[in-house]
Amino acid sequence: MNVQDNATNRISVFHQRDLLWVLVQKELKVRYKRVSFGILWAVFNPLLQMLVLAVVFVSILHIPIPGYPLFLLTGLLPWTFLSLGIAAGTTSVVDNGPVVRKVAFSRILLPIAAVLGSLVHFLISIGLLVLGLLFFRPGLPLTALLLPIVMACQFFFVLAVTLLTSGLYVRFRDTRFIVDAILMVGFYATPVLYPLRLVPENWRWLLILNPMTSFVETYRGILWDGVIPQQTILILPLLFTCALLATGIFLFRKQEFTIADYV
Amino acid sequence: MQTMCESKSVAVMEALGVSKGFARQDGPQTLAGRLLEFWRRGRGEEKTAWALKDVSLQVKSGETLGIIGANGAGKSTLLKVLSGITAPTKGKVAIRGRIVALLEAGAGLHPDLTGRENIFLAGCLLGLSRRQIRERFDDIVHFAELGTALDQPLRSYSSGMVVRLGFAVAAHSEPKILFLDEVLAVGDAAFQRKSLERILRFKRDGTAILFVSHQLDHVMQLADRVMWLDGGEVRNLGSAGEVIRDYLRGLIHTTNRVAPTSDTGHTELGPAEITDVRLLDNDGGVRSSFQIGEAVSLRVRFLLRERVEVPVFGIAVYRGDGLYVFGTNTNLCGVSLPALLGFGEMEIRVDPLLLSPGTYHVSLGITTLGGGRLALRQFACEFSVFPTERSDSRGVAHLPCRWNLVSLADTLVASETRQGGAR
Repeated sequence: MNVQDNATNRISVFHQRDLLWVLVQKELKVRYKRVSFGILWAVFNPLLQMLVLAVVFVSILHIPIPGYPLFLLTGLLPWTFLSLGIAAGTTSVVDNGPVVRKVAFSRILLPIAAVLGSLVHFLISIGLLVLGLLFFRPGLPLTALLLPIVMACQFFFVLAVTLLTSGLYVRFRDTRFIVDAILMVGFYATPVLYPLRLVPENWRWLLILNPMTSFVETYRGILWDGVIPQQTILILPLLFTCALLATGIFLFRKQEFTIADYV
Repeated sequence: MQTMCESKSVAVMEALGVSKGFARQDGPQTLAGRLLEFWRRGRGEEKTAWALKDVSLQVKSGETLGIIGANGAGKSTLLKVLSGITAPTKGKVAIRGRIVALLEAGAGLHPDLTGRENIFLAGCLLGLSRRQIRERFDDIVHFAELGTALDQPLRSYSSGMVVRLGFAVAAHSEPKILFLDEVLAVGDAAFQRKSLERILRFKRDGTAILFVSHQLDHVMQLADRVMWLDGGEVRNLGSAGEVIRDYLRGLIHTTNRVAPTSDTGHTELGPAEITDVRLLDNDGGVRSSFQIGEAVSLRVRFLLRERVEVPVFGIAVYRGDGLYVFGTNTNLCGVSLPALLGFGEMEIRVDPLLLSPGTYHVSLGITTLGGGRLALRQFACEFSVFPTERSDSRGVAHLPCRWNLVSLADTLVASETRQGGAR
């Protein structure tokens, strides 16, 4: 007989993969219940955004990048994953308040499920992007095979941020607005609309401190230019992600048993 | 059953000195408030309100523990802490085996999902694997009596259906410990009976059950032991009958204390007063517990300060949970009393006492013929009814039954008459 403190709470995420799976399903089903076009909306929004931005930047501002719409989309989709994942993840624990208050289960599964739900959207839209690249450009570079690894890394980055913000949001409801503000600024401080090389040399280091810069540059590198970015751009965000993830898990686990008191 | 379980089984749950405190609402709740507080005096002690104070208990497998107490006494908080929904602020909770917490009917269900999807969601939340749920799926659907609604969204369900679904999933999760918070109070009578039967089966199978209920007759019926929580502290923990009696006595005192005005408690110095109430058995001894079918006489001493031309004496009997069981008065019984003044004593004789086992209390009143109230005494006395070896029943009224086996296919059996309980 194994004695557990607080029973089910301390069981590893792996052992609760069925619950995780059902929670992700719930996440997706609930969002698209009673919605005629279902998950198509997940694709429609970034496409519309791309269209608008492409018109502004190509027709009005005459940005000198060939194939700008697809170039833009290559950066826009990872950014959308980040912003939607964090938005859904941050409020995930509070949104599931009724369950959290009534059932004992690992609360950490909630932000994980929210980010996984966003990952599903990301997978669909990036699949369409790959099709677009194959169709409009002379084939994909071999480096595109690295895509799953990069996506996995970004997933953990988004998850790490979400673990921190969702835990904070339980206690402080201001968190959501702070996160929104940071994301808004972050969108322009990440080379989504423009390539990093257009940024003046003496400002570039500032952008590289932003882990999303590295992710977007890497996606562009492997899908667009067929190059793997230089080491600093690869190593820094990975170390940052690992540190952030460890902190996120630690802090979330620490308050996991008192969350029900605040939601 | 109780002694059998206690002698051979081990504790499946143990709580030691469990306390639960909540930050008071007037404390810093927002980020700005928190920062301000931090700035002012560093990490000051948060003001805490204690919902549970130093609660210790042990529950063995197969044992059923009822938790009673007034609203806000900490009953639900205790279940939350024990089931691991929230951690105790102080103390320890140790648990062996998997738990199912059915803290509230419909917990873990989502209104936008269909019945089918909700079975998987709720089942996984309770710790079942998807394969286990698939194996038990038909049983769950059958138990929940969902019928064609299985693939309809939960929001279209009646509240009774939601309750049935939640209970059905929990019932098929093979819990070692089952927590029930007022779950029996919902659902229609048929489902209540069905879930009660299921709970009794859990009990037989060795599941430990902790349940919170305001329905003292349910507690009396199910619980081996009862814990009375009062202001977050254990006021009494012991055998069901003993604690419930104690609790009811406590209720009477509180009622008298907090509501001395208007229509509860003694009415002081009115036109009349009920000065003393005693319950006597057939031999004239004062008792507070009776067997089914015994003769009971209620002696009421009163004082009429003014002359009353046609006084009417009334009695009302309530079950422990407040159910109005019976009420009558001298007028309704066709008894006409003479004009009265001064001290007197009235006897109300009930023979036989045909109530089902449980706890009851009595209210008494004196009025004028027109209904003008002269004296009223609520919770005037309380008594319990116990089964005898040959008669026992559930519910409120003990209707005398004769059981006759009239015929049996093929074989003819001589009908035998036997006086027995309704069950």
